[in-house]
Amino acid sequence: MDTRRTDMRDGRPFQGKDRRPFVSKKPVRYFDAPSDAVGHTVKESHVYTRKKKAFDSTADFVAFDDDTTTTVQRKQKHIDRRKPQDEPEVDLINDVPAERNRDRRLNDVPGVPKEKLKKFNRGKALDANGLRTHFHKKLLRQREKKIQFSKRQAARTEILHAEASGFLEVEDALEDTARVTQKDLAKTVDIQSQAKNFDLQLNDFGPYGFQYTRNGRYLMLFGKQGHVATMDWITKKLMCEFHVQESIACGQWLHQETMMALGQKQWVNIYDSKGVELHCIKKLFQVLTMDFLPYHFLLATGSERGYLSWLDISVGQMVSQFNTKNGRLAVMKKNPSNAVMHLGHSNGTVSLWSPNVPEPLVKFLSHHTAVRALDIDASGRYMATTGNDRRVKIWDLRKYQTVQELDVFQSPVSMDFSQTALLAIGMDKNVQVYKDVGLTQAPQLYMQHYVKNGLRHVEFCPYEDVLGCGFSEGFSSLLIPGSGEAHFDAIETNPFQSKRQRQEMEVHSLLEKIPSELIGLDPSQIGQIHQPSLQETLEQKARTLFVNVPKVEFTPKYKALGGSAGWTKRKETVREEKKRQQIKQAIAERKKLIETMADEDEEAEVPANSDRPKSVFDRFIKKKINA
Amino acid sequence: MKVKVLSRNPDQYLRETKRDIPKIPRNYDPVQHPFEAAREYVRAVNTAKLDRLFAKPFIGSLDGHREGVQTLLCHPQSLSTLISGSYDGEIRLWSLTERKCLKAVQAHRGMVRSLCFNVTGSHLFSVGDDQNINQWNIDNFDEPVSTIPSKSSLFAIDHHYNEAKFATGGEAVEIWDEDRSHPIRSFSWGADSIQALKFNRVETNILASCAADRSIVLHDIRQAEPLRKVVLKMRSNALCWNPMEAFLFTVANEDYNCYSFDMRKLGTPVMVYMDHVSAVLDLDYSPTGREFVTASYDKTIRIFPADKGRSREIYHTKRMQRVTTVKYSRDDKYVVSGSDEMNIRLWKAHASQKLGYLEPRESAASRYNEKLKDKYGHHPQVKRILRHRHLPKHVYNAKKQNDESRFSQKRKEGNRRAHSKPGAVPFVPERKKVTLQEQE
Repeated sequence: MDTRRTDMRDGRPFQGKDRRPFVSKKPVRYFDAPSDAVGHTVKESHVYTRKKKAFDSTADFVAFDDDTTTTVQRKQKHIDRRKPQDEPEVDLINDVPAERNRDRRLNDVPGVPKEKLKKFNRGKALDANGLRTHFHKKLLRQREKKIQFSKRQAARTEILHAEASGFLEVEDALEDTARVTQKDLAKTVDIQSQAKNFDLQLNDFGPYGFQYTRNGRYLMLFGKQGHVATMDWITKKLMCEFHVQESIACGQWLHQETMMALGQKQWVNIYDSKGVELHCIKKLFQVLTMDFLPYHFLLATGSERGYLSWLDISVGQMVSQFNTKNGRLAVMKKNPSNAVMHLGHSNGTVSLWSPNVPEPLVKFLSHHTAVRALDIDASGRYMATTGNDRRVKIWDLRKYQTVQELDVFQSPVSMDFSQTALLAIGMDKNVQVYKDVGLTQAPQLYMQHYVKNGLRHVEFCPYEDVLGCGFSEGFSSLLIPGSGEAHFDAIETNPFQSKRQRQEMEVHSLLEKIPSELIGLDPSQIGQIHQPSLQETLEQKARTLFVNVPKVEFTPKYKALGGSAGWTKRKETVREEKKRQQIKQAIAERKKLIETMADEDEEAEVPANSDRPKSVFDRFIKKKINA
Repeated sequence: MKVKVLSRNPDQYLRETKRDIPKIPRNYDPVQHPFEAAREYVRAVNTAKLDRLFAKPFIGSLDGHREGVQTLLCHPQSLSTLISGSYDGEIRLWSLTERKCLKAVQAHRGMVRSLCFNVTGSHLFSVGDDQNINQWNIDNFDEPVSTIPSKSSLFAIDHHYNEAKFATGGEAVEIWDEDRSHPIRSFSWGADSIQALKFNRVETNILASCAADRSIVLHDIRQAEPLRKVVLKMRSNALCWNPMEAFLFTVANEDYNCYSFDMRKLGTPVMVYMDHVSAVLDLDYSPTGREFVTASYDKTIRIFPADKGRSREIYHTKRMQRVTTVKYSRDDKYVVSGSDEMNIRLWKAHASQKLGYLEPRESAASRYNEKLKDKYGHHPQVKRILRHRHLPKHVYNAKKQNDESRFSQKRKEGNRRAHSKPGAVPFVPERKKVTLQEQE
């Protein structure tokens, strides 16, 4: 085993303490990944040295591209570079004006390479020039500085990461990672990792499906013929094991390892960690597939009869239930970035659903045969689909276009993206893992493994380099180096959490339960300003341009003067008067609208006496509308 | 072939003993934190709800006066010391921390009209309906140090910020030296009686006064004549300078509103504060100058941000009657009010603020929550919760009635405009309607 990565931080001087303004030899910072272990050299633009401007207290840290530049050139560069990325004005963490902290910060903040900042990008800055007042411009700029600062701070915390991700790399061109077997791997890795490669022989009640919890610590196994077992799979401690005396179509952990749902022959049942049945949900009939939205506390299910349902498990209420009118729903996955459910149908289409719209948000034909499996990566950018045509397609969900396609030799039954965007494809006897999915080059076969037969499900274990596969005669846990995210965030998910932490987390996540109304294609919509779409503005225009005067209801209270004839007359007068008013108002509005439209068009208009020679295309230029 | 498999050493992630803090490794990668905006929004809604849940502004009442409380005064140095004067001529000295009356003395025959401290806070001056100006030693409260009889009745008194001079308001504005028994200067500009006067705390020789003839007059005590004057439509009852922006002062008007004026340009008020449904009787700025508190005849206290036209807070209780006087504490945390039914009440300036020592985590959380409210305050759901206040029935009804009458006037004016020659009925902004004339 190569240990160079694990101890790469030892013995490196911390460059932040270096106070020399210029370092003659190329400095290697504590922050940078070592070039030798990664296999590619550190680009020179990554190398940042500290340089303090003598006259300016807001001195920044400079990146200089090559050592051949003179001091004057460097100074010039320094000044040029500073312009776009100013020092932030406010220290977000301490919430105090930056001036107070500036000197302290100057002394120990190293620069952050642009590559590292990229991940934390919050999109393009708003343009302050559109604002009317200087005050608001200033506010906006200050806000932008804070955003930039928090971005840098977030990138800087990566220094604190204790782990390094796993990898499997070839050293010469003759080697191939796809030929490495699990046996070979198990021989080379440490004992702790060896224990993660194991097989469970479960001959009687298969084929087996399974699921890991969100923190990757617990495993639930369920055989098609009713056998259920949950365990802490790292310590191999069994939590519960029971038989439901019914067939099981699907299973799902709920928000924590204390509760799980099983889609049984007729209904969905909920069990606790001891295997005690807590609920039988008779609103969910013949469920084939389930997924859980942990931030919304919604259990989404797809049924034999084509019904897609969302059940709020925190209050036990059905949020929505739609008939998708597309036959049985056996293929369903959530998009982890926006909580939209992706369904694969037998006619080859994939449809995207939110609980707020009774129709698919998006629907497109992905295969000419039935869709067998699909999955979406953690960032929500890429979706992999596959069908009976034995073709795997990678879709860019921002454009709904395929970016990559690859053919496999059997029709896949299950697919899963790892946290590091490796793609596992499970076929009848074979599991293949691809890397470079969604990148510009074609996906590479990274590793593969053969099981006996009847493979049912493959799934990566979160935060571990492990791929589980459930098949007819049990369960196998495979080592796939580099498949797990090395750094977990203990506020979100914690594989090492104590009971108390788990309880705390439950309370906090319930307090922060996102209402299902906020589910939509764009998860950040709640933070944006509503801008009416083209359709909405057109409808608004149509409403003001062509007014239907509504019927005016008026009944005089008393018949006093003129008897019933006078009564009718008065009624008529009032009606006419109101109608006239409304028409008047509508005309005024229309006039206004036309004027504004004309103002907009004025730019496009060509003045009559312009110098330009007349063209035949002038007839297409809009003429001024006369109000 | 090179290989490394992720293998975590539990020692790095678990605390060693139960007394340690649990280890919380963080990863700020946005992919690990989905639904950022939605979760923040939910947090903001929760914060807004908790804010209203914890809004318990009333701290306690100080009872002891045998008549309505006419005037209150905070000590310039000691936060816990409060002086009150009542309708029956009694002055009481209170300790706010113990909520106890330390001393009570019969100071005047008839009402105690107004109180003020000298520069150091060692002596107190009071004026009452018996036309006397009494000087009291704050440590020895039994007998006045000196009594100066005035020729006419006095309604207001205020002390110079750093010199041994004070001003009284009655038939005229009179400037007194602490050591003399006759005024050193006297100003009058047509007014029959001065209701309130205040020295500017920054430009210390500037003095503003409100008179019963609806005028507000500015004086420079170094000059022989008053500086300028503005006449409003109705009378102003009280006046307070903004402690941070020294050129601004705010008056509490009889027409239910408060008006902020720039002393350089009295023609139009810079801000109109509406919300009370009856005459505003008193007001006091917070030491930050960002907010001020008002007391009204409608039995409520309101807190206005200085830069907004509507109040952010209303305080009322079932038992509180007409509130005659109100003061902001010098630490910006409390509000004290005195009312007709003989009680002095102590309120929090921020209804849901936790008092006392805050753990660093608590104060960080409260700062975060403030920021959330600020960021999501425009969302209808958050806004609705944050704005909601329970109003007493009489205030609610009066507000409705006032709105209705204002709307009706507006409609009438609109009708008149629609049926007149264009330009004959001009649009007059609300701010311009208040002042009648400005005189130099």
